[in-house]
Amino acid sequence: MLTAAQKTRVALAIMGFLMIAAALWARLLWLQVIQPDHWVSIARRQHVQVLELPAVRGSILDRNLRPLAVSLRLTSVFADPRHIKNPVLTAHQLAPLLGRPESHLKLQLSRKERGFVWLARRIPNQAASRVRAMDLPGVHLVMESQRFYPHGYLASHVLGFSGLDMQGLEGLEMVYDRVLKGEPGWRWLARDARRRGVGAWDAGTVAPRDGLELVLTLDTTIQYIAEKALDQAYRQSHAKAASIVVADPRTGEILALANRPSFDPNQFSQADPQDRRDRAVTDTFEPGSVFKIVTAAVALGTRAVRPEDTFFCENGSYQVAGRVLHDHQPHGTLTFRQVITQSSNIGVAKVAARLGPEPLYRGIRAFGFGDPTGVELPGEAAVTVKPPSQWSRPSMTTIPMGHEVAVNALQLTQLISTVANGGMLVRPWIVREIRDPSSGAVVKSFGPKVVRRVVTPEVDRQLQDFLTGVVQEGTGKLAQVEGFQAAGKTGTAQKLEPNGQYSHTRFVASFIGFIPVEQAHLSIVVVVDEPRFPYYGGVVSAPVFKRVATETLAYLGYNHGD
Amino acid sequence: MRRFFFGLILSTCLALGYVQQRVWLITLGYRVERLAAQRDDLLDQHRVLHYNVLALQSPVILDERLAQRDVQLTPPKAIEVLPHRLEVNPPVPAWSGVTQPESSWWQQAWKQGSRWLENGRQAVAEPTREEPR
Repeated sequence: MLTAAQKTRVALAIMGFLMIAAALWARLLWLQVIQPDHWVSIARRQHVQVLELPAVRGSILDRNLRPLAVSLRLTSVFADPRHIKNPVLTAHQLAPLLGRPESHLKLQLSRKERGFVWLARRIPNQAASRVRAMDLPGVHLVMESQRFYPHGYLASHVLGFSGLDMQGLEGLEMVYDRVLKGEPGWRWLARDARRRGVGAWDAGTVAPRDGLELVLTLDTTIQYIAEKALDQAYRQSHAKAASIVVADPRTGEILALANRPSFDPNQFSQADPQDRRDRAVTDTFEPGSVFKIVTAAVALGTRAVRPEDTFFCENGSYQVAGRVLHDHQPHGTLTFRQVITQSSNIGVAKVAARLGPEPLYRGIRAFGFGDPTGVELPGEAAVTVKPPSQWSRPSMTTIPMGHEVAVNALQLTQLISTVANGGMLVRPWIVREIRDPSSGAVVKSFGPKVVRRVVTPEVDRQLQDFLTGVVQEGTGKLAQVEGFQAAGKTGTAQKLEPNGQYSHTRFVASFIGFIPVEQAHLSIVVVVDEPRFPYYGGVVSAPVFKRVATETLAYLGYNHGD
Repeated sequence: MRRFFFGLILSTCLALGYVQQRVWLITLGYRVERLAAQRDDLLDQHRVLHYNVLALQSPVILDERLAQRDVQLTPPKAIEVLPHRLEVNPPVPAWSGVTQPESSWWQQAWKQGSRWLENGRQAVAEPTREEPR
């Protein structure tokens, strides 16, 4: 039996325990129920991390769904120098795998004041596997996306490129950046004491929305044919630059667009900014004799001149409006058709004299000159055509032969496609569809846009006859394609010198044409800037037309007489 | 007292079950993470390999390789190109396996069935029908 004193001690001890228990319970209640947020937030910061799930940038495909630009994830290597025990040894081990100088790696790994340094970014998978297998302390790997262009320089000016952070910087990559890049997702990731992911089985996840795919009107094979032919002409003529546009005149679809000089978008940082310029879109020039098509169309359309009307071409030299006009070879009397086929400047000046400025200006505008074509490519030059009120005295002789007006290669494509297309002006376009890569469903599709009728079918037939004559018996004989009837116009435009005078050494040689004449499938524009002698459009550019037309028609499966 | 011990044992079992479940979830979490990383790696490798195939099919690469080996290719002349559809006269019998005549629905079903049965044992080589351009 316990004595009274012992009972008192036991009671006191129990009371003490109960009081301690009550205090602990009260504290527990305080921490767990009344004020849990503070500790919960600290615990979350230690154990849970929000992980961003990057979206895959959408591909760019050609009309046959062949990829022109794709995104791949490659491994990058970084280090926490504070956890590197022997920087010299680690640098020695990593240098051959990462392809970096050992001294550079050693310097990076020795920067103990920093917790993060890049050692190499986007290394090949085999090297990444070997680095991973080495399991070096303080050396970590992370996946990063990179844009690749499997065809190298092919269509580089159209595609543009995206930078290290996958932001579109030029070309369609820039224009459609929002469509291509998608939206990143995120998820909660629980981590253990070693910062390994434990999974997120009880936490929220928002899946990334990958970027959409762009389907272009370009055809990789036609693009290759066009680039190869253009490249050959560019090199052989030692030109400053060159451009080519191949389009389907019936729909306005651009099948190929290329420029020289060019660049490889896989190594865009090494390219000269001048080489990255999409000259077919951004550069304007005085078109020269190819513009005589507009003058002829206006003359026929207004019935001011008939094809059989004759003009005396002054045997090659003609003084008018305070200046002397010359033909590249002297001509006597020529019919209107011959004026165009032989590309007589004097004859065209006399034709224009019958027109007057207003009809000519309205005709120029009707063919779309003075307005941007509205193609989806960036940087299209804003070109204006002076109204007749601002024309000088010689303008009425120079504008009809393609001087005092500035155009780009796409506008010339629009011009020749209109003639090939029965007189209907169709806007050139290059983006065909936007597709969802996961389902292949078309999110948005684009189609031909007929702007207006420019000339009547009757006038168009006469124009086509003129342009067929250019290729058959005129200045464009080198554009003849075996088995098909081609039509086109040559141009050799003197460039303006800084002093305002026309140069006698610098020219723009061009050829614009379509094929086959009866039912045109292709319209092709070739512009060569500052070729060396022989610098004539019929010598430098027409053979490019011939080669591209021959190979493209064979590729498309058109037989002779189709 | 018995009720107390019974409750104690029950609550202990429930607590152990809960702990076991959490441990199991964490173990699964590690496994899921590892498998997800493997899947991502394999997908990345697949994309890279697919890209390599694309790049090797590029006309630019093919042209460079042909040029390195001094092979000059030119487009064939019309007379050198075979038409898409060759008609043989007299027709080659179907049993020879050389031609693929239009077959009725039961022949197609029979072919599909036998192909399914022989799947993995016999490679089926058929001309692909080209889409009209």
